[in-house]
Amino acid sequence: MKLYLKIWRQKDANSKGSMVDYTLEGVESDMSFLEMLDILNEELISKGEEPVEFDHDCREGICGTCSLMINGRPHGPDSMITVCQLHMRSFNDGDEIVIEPWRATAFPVIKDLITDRSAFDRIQQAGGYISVNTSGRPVDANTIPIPKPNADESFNAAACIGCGACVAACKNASAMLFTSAKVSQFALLPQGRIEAAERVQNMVRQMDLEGFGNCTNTGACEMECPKGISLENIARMNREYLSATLKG
Amino acid sequence: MLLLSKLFEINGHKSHFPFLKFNKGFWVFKINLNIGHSDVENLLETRLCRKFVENQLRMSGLIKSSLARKYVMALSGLFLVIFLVLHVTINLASVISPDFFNEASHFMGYNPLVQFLMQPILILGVVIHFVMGFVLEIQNRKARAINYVKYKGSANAPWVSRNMIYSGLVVLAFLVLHFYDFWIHEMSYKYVEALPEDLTRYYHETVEKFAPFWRTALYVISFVLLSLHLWHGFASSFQSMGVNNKYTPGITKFAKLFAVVVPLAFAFIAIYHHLNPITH
Repeated sequence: MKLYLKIWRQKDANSKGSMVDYTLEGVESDMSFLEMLDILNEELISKGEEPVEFDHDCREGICGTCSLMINGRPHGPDSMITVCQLHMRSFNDGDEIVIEPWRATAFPVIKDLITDRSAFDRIQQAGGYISVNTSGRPVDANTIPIPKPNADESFNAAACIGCGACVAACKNASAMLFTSAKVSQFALLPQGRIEAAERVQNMVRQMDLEGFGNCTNTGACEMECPKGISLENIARMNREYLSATLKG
Repeated sequence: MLLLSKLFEINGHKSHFPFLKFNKGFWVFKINLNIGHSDVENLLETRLCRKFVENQLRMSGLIKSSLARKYVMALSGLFLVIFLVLHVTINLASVISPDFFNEASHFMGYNPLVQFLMQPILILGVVIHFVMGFVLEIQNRKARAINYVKYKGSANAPWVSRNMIYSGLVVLAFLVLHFYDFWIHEMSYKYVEALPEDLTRYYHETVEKFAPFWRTALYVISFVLLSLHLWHGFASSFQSMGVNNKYTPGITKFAKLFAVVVPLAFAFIAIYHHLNPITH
């Protein structure tokens, strides 16, 4: 298949970028989207041009590294997958594909399609952990009984891979889905309750400091999340924050 | 407090709290224990003081945080929803019973509790809601300084939820017209011209307002936008306040029904009076 690509090219963080047109032939429908970009880059390198920089790592949808806005949607047109799980069979011969980096003030572009997502790391560092004394003697995981629904919900929240698609999809570039997933993951478990009030306040404070937008409850984040993180987490975070602030 | 500030030594650093010092990213207490207090007294006052400071810091965090702004938006919105119920009920009376409408309007216009307590609270509620709406919109735009070349918002979120600022702006513009039509008129009648109380004027004043087609049309268009605003906003305010549970599907259904029925009733009343003018 023949594709008409429009790709954001930006030399470095301080340069002004622009969309550049490429025509790519010989793309097979069983290729993944990233393999298609690999082929484009091989062509560019053979022509002596600078290849398109893009983030990728595991290529099996679990690391959260790949991050492309494809035709106006994070991780492309299909749902519940990351870019590396997107295949060219989702496109047709002669299609125009617009590829852009995540757009958020808190995620500045480093080069081409790569953004700096360390804002997420700082939110995580602000409270996304539990303080326990560890020793060489592992304690049995079932020592503290946990209701199955809570364990399941916590696990679902923990499925967040921190790719940033929620921020990319949100019209306000809000990081509420990510932050709330990290808050919920711990808030639902007895081990996490101990620091729950402090955690939610610190993580929300960091989220605000990073310059993410506010939540308008459009639900775009939930729709685009490759791991299906639910909006219920945002409500839980709102609840946790309100009670933490009022009760102290 | 005097005792407390004596107890906690000031340490050069500027602070809202004389006994607090900002050091390497942490708030620390500087305590001077040499003023003859017993250990028990010291301990007690330290605890009291700590509680006070913690409360202050927490509340200041609440005012500054993005979540708090959403709480303000949600609560002021819910307050305005309750007001709409009252407003539409009295308006419906103008269709059913002109006499009752006159009585109710007169009560609302002259009862001091309504005029000097409820009305200012209502105006404050409206102002808070739209000012906070603008603040949030500005912040949201800042959060994405460079826009996408291609952004398919419709693929993952309904139009109403993405355009609350525009439906809100239309409702705000409508409020200007609505204030000019009724509130300014009332203020002028009562306080500027200082005309005597007239229990029967409200019905025909209201009906006459809807005689021009343009005003009726503007009102109806505004009610459509109000409906869209409520369609997303009413149910959304529960999510903002952290309510998302087994009742949520029911709440959402009720909120959407409300978003259709109430503006429809307002529109019906406006059109009804336009089509049924008072013939002298």
